[in-house]
Amino acid sequence: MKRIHKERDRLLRRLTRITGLAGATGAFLCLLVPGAATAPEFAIAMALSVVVAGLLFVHTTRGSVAAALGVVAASVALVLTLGAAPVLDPATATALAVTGGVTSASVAAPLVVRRRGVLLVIVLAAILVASIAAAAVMSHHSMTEVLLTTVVGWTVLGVLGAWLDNGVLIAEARIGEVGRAHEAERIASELEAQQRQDARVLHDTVLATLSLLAHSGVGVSANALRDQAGDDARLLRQLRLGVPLDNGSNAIFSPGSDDDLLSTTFESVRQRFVRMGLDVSWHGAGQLVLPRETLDALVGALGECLENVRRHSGVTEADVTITDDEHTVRAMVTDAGDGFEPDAVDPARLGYAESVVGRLNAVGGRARVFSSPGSGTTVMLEVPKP
Amino acid sequence: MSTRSPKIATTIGEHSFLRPARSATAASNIRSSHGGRRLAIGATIAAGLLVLGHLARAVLMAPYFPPGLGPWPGWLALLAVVAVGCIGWQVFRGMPDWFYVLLLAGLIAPVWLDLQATSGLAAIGVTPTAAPAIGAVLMPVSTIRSRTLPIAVACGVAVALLADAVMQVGTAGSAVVPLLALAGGAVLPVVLTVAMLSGFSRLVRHEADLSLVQSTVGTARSAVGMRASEELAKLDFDAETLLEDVAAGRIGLPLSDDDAARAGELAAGLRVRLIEGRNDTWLKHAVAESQYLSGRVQVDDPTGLAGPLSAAQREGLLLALWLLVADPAKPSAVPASVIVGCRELDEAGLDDVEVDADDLHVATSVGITIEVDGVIHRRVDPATWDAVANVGVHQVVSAASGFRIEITCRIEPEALAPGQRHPAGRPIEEKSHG
Repeated sequence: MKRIHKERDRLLRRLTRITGLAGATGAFLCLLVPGAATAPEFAIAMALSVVVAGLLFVHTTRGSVAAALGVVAASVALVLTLGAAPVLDPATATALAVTGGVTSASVAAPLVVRRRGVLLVIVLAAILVASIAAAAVMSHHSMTEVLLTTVVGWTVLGVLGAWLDNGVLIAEARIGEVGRAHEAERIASELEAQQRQDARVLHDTVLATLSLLAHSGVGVSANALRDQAGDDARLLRQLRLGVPLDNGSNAIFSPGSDDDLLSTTFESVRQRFVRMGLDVSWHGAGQLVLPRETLDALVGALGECLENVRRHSGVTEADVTITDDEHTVRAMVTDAGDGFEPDAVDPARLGYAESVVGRLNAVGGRARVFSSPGSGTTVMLEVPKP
Repeated sequence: MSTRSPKIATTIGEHSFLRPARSATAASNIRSSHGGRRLAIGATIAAGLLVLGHLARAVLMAPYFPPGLGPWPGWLALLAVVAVGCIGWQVFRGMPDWFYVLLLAGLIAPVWLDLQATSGLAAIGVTPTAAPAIGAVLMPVSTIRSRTLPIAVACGVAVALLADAVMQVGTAGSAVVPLLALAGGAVLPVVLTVAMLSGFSRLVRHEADLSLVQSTVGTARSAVGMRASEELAKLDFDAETLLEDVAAGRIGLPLSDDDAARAGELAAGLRVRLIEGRNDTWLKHAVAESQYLSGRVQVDDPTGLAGPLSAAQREGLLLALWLLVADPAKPSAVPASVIVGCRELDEAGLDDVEVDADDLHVATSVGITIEVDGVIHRRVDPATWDAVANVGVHQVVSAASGFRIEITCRIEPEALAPGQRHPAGRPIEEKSHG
């Protein structure tokens, strides 16, 4: 059974509990009015009232149909006991009306939504009506009001139950629609985000440019910075609009497995630094087949290293050497600049831990720094081959 | 990025950035439709039946009235109020506050006329008919406006009937009991309708929330999450705008302090989005996106171990969490806090698990602990345990003020489906089919 239907039944049983217990209590109180019934009938009626309340409780907590049928049976017994008595006090008549139209009718709501529920409810109501009529005939009392209340009560609760069921069905369909639409939205939006995240190299240059802007472009000419900003803005716009990208920037979006992917990507990094005033000389392999993630991590880490050289080394030249054996690809970033004491500098300060080590670790690689004051710096980046 | 300058914030009008908002609106439309039009129709039909019942009683009693107008002035007044209400509904295309209050106040007329006509007649079995019918009339009313006011009005009618009964108890004796029953009968339909409406909208709210959150079940193992996607898109757009302004010379170089600070903020935001949060899984997103789970459930899964759970396991876990927290029907069963923790199980401890020499090193089982504080495990919805059973083998440990569910989840190798990412970030090679 579907969850929403369980919830619906729970709600219907709650309505039954409110109605049924209100009715049972009401009828019980009516019977307590002096003169409402003679002693033996009173005792039976009291016992039946308690039974009805108990059965209602069982039905509304467990949802047992047998208990619901028991409620109706006990109500019939109550009607026959009190209705067939020689004297029908107004209080007793009220108790009967409440029993017929409220207490017993309360089970109509949860029963009507079951399979063949409408038929079941009609049959139960008919049994009750027949027993009221029988009592009236036996004792010659006018029980029109009891009959009327019973019919109205059963119909009203049946209608409420059926329409609640109907409302739940419609809500269920609409919730399903919204859920499916939302799932489509999620897929689309996550795909888009994935594309954005995958455009890691693009984001690296954007990050570098933004950092330069934040530091008022120290060490870079205004024109170069403006050109770089223009290029980055154009690429971001293309990424946003999903425009097919021209050849030069293709590599920046990490495409599949172009043979010259590596050299193109490295070339774009090189050009970026040339513009910023750092001349990067490239040595070694330009033809490497690496999984996209690994390549992105390597190129990203490389860019960060070069940015550190540009900012801190005090020289305008750096060398990048790529070598590989059957297990590993190594990239060495070397400068002949100021150098530093690796132990004396907190790696976190350079953004090194996060942007270099973190990235490489994520693909199973590692980074090592060799430097001492006055004799330049070498950073060795390693990533595993597939 | 709450400190983004207002200028940039206003430029983000692109529809693509409002994506999750659309489904949120759609969901709240179902929610706020106030129990649905179907329910209003049902309540109206039921109300009509009840009114007919009272009318039938009026017809039956009419011969016993003293000569005069009988029970009809009250009924005519009631009819007038209902008619004015229906016409006003059409004219104003809705229900302005003043009109609504005026109509409810107008109900004093039928009550007063009806009680006048039947006063002192309880002894011969004549009771008010139009006044208790007001309870029925209020049923559809409670579907369109506030739910407390109709109950208050129905209670007012009931009080009037009770007062009438008290005044006649000396002459009529036990014949005033039907009056008391009628007083109850005036309140019960409204209470029932209100209970039905609030229960229904609670049900719809819950189901809608669950269905929205369940879309996380089908995502890849380290998904970005809708919120993060939107943030990333916004950051990209802000960066684009700033860079374009710099390139076009709209912002001069070197940058002013404000602009430089903005560039720094954007860079920091992008860095966070791109580098951190890559271990966030569907579980974190589901909790963040749910109206009920967020703020009540804490996820402690720094390495993204919940990622490789299968769709069925995810659904079970989500449903279990959801059943644990989202049940205001029983206020005593709402826990004070729920913490979900994921940890890698010691594989040596699992004797029958064959550890593959898999260089990917994928955990074959994950331990999930749900710590619930502030509710004892017997008070929890039994459906929770079925849901937990779908996640894996579990055991419940009772604690001082709550309990702990410890689940051992087997990770099926199929969980490494094509296109999904390895927890370490490496893509899984696509399997070739056929």
